[in-house]
Amino acid sequence: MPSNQPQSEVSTWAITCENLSVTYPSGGGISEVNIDFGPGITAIVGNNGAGKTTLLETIAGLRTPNSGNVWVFGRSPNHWRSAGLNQVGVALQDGRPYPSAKPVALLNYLNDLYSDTPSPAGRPTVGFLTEAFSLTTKTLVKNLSGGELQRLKCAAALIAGTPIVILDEPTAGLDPQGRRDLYDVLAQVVPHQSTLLVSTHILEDLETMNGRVIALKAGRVGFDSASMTVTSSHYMTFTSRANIDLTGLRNALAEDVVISEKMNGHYSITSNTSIDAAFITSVMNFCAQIGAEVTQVNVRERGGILAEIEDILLENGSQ
Amino acid sequence: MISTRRLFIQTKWEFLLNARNSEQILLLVLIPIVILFVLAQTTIIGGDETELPLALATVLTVSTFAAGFTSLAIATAFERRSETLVFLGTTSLTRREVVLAKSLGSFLLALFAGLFTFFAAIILGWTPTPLALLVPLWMVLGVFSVSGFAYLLAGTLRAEAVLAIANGIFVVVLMFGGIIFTFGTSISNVLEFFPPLALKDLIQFSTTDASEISGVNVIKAMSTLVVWGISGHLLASRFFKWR
Repeated sequence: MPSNQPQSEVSTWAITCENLSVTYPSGGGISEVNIDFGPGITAIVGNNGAGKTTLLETIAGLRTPNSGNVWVFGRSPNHWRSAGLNQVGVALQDGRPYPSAKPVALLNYLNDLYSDTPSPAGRPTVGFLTEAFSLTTKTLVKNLSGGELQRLKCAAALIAGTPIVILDEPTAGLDPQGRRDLYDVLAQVVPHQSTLLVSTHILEDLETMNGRVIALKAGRVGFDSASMTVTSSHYMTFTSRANIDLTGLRNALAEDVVISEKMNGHYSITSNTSIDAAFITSVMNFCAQIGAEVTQVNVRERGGILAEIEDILLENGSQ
Repeated sequence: MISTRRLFIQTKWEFLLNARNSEQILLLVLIPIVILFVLAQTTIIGGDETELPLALATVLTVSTFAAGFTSLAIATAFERRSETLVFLGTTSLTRREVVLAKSLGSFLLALFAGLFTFFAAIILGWTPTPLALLVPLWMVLGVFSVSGFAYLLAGTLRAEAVLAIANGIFVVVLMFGGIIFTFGTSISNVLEFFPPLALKDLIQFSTTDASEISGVNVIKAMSTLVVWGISGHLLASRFFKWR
């Protein structure tokens, strides 16, 4: 099939990936990815080398698929590019565009460039973006701090007013406060009807974004919250002396409860049913009986998706 | 498809960014004017007959070569390294527009430097000739003849290597390109088929009243620039890597 042929049956999606493979001679990339993206925020997680950047850059038309197709509103990214009709605003992970320019000048120039780009949701003004992302600095792009550069790239991605926005690792190198601030601004600035793809390798970011989550694992989709359901589990940790024989505790608790010593004296308990006062009391009683002093008890409900993804990422990393 | 609107915005943006760069001013304005004064006021080169139109042609050739080759290659190589070129790939600019804007920006830089040179030449006593109006056209051809090779270097080698090689070639062209120092007929006959001397011949033809250069030679020089230009751009479009 010629790759410029629009796919009528999938055109309801903003982005469609069909058996998409982009590989490199040195390894890495993505293989046989099948995903659709629609309006709303989608987080793309994965370890370094899992293929996040490759996937995003291919959707942006910066990389050519080895096989399979990617459709942006039913057309190839190349179709939109050669027509000069931007559909995707992109903040790339690497690079410092125009190092000798000032941020505001760069945004003004982009604003001029995009003045005839169709924008269904309307384009934000330079003033609005510089205000929202605190970019009024006179510092040249080459001297911007990591946080300023990330904010500038986000602003540059948004100024086109495109229906699709891709942010590749916008929180890389930011401290927790900086990350939270960035997501706050994005929540205000990105129109709700936009299809927003954000990659990250920081799991807390997923809670902040609170959208669809896709985990990439070695170039394939390992998890997609839109098509897979996960059971949430409950989680308790405590610290005591090392090498406790846990058999007695296992017998005292329900069968589906998993107990293990993670590190020297650090124990973790996972349960599919709620960890209530009675549950905690049984743990305490067991420790009291064998004379083990317990400190630092922590109980939390482990978000089902987060737990699942954490497992995928850790498993991936240990390969 | 090329949008003249986007091309205009991109050219203006890059021209203004480059024009503010102090190294560029040095390379494109100061060095040529110094060469003009040295050539016109002393007899160290070319015996005692160094005439102003000849010096003017030399200097305009140097500016065009500096802008269309050396400075374009270095700027593009560093933009490739900073991933500015990849960034431009995410905008509504097509690749053709990106490249065309760079070449146009180089031409404008050369023209900008050329205006200073013309002004300096007039101060030194040069009488403008009507045919001097053709000089911008020769400069466009001159930029075209070498910009493809600038892209070829910038798009294939590391930025530091491009910096060294492009400056090295610039020095070689100044010394042995036949534009400052003249050589015997047999060597000149070869050098005429290289862009620097071909460009200098064309400019000299339009800045001298009594032209010693025949129409045949003008056609030959123009063809030389066009052939170099097409070859360079074909090679660049084949080998240029955007990152």
